[in-house]
Amino acid sequence: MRRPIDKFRDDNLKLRLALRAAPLGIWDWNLETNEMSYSPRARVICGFSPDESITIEKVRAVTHPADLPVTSEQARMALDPEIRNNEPYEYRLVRADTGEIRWALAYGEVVFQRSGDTVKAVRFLGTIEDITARKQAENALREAELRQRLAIDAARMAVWELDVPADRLMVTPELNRMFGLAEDACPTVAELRTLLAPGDLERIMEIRSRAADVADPYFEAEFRCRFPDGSLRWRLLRAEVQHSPAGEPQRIIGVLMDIDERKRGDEQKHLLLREVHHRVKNSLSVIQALATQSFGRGAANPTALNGFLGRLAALAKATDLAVAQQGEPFSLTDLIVGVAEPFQSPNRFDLRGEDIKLPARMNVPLALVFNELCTNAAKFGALSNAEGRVGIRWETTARGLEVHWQESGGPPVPPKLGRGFGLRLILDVLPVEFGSAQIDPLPSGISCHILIATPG
Amino acid sequence: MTTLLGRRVLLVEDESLIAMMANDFLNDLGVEVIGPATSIDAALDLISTHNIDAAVLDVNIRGELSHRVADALRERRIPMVCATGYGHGAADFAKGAPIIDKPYSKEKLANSLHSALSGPQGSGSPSA
Repeated sequence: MRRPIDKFRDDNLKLRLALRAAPLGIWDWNLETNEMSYSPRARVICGFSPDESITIEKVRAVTHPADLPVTSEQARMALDPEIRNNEPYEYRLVRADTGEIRWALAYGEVVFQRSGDTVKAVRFLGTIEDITARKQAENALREAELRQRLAIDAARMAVWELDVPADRLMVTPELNRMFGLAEDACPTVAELRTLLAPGDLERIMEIRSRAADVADPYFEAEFRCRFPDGSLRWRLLRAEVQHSPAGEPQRIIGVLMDIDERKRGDEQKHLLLREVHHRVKNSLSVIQALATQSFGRGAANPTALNGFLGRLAALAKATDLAVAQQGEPFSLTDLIVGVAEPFQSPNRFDLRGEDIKLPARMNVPLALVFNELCTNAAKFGALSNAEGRVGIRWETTARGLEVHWQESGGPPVPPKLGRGFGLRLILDVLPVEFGSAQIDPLPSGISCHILIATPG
Repeated sequence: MTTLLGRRVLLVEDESLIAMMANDFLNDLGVEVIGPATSIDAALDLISTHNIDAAVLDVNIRGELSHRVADALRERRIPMVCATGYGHGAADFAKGAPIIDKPYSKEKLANSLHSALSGPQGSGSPSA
């Protein structure tokens, strides 16, 4: 059987172990003698030396002035026998030794004594813990959240989360703002979906279903939503689909971004480009009309006019391509198909080569070269009879892009070509630093070799 | 092959020089030209007062897409050729009608008119 003294020793040992494990300091205030005792840990926390005597003045002195009213009030409520508050409380310490400001968590209990009708507090004791590290982590987290929120606001984004099986959306004030709703509105997913422009929801769902793949769960889609004033606003949705272990879409987390200004800018640019395109093509038509009226009707030599009109048409094709590519590299196949189109009935061209992209500035010269070759073939070469054919083959070699034009099945080719404007165009129109052309009137058909130095 | 000879073709084109050339092209093809109309209202007026077999319609008249003219033509089942500087970007406008890209040649115009007249809205022979 254990004696009480053993139990006391045992409890004391356990308490010391607990105190060593938890970084707690112990303080004990005898209210009758006004003596204060601080454990070594409590002294370290407050910055007191190991042997100095502790007074209530010293305790007040190490309490941050701003927090003194709070700690005084806590003490008052703890000591009041009617209240007997023993809630833990946080406050700032100004360490006695270094003056450093630290965060402390304190917890106190009061021992009361009844004498006759009165109840009196005789002892106030408790623990103190330095929680600066935790407070700093909390503050850092709060600041990180604040920074993230500011960034989201600044980027005009809203974060959202969709519970897929329940089709339920977590609505935030920012999300409401994105849809032009009051910040405290509580729209359902179905309600938000009705705000999408016709066809946009279907498009998003289609893109989302493609992101159903567990390996690549990300997707993004642009859509328009209708504001209460009736206007349509562009939004970009970026999301990640999270799957259940069984591979079923479970949750979609994403952001919504306001891209309205950018889209309006794009639309404006697109409209402007269309307008310029239209005007350029109209001007080319006016030139065509002027040439036709000036030299065409009743002219002695309609061939010259037709040659001119063919070149004009090739220029118009090059313009179309330039506009369609918006100044970006264009496809060689597109260019050849466009220029050859007027000579294509029925198809007598054999094109062979990879779809290769060429810099925009090659567009017009190449269109003119191919037009000249086609025109010449239609007048004298493979396209001047019923069965001739034109083979166009290209390949990338160490020298650059080499294009071979080879006619076959046409009437016999005279050994020497007349050096007219058409031939000069073929030989000289390509910018010297970019390419060269060489033409060979083989008896079997005209052959032309074009070399285009591919950009670095 | 349908013949263009004697067909009455409405020409809608706001650029007078282009209209003049297209007019000549159509005359060369033996077509009787109605117009040319250089505004949308003038075109609508001609459509409501003339017997027309087909139309050559510029997609953009004085900065405005000529939808109203296209609608009036479709309502009367008059086949049309859409002339445009937008290239094949005008497909939405044309809704299946042949598109000719400006600048167009006489041959191109003749081919497009033929295919418009032999399409679902073409009558196949000159109207009486």
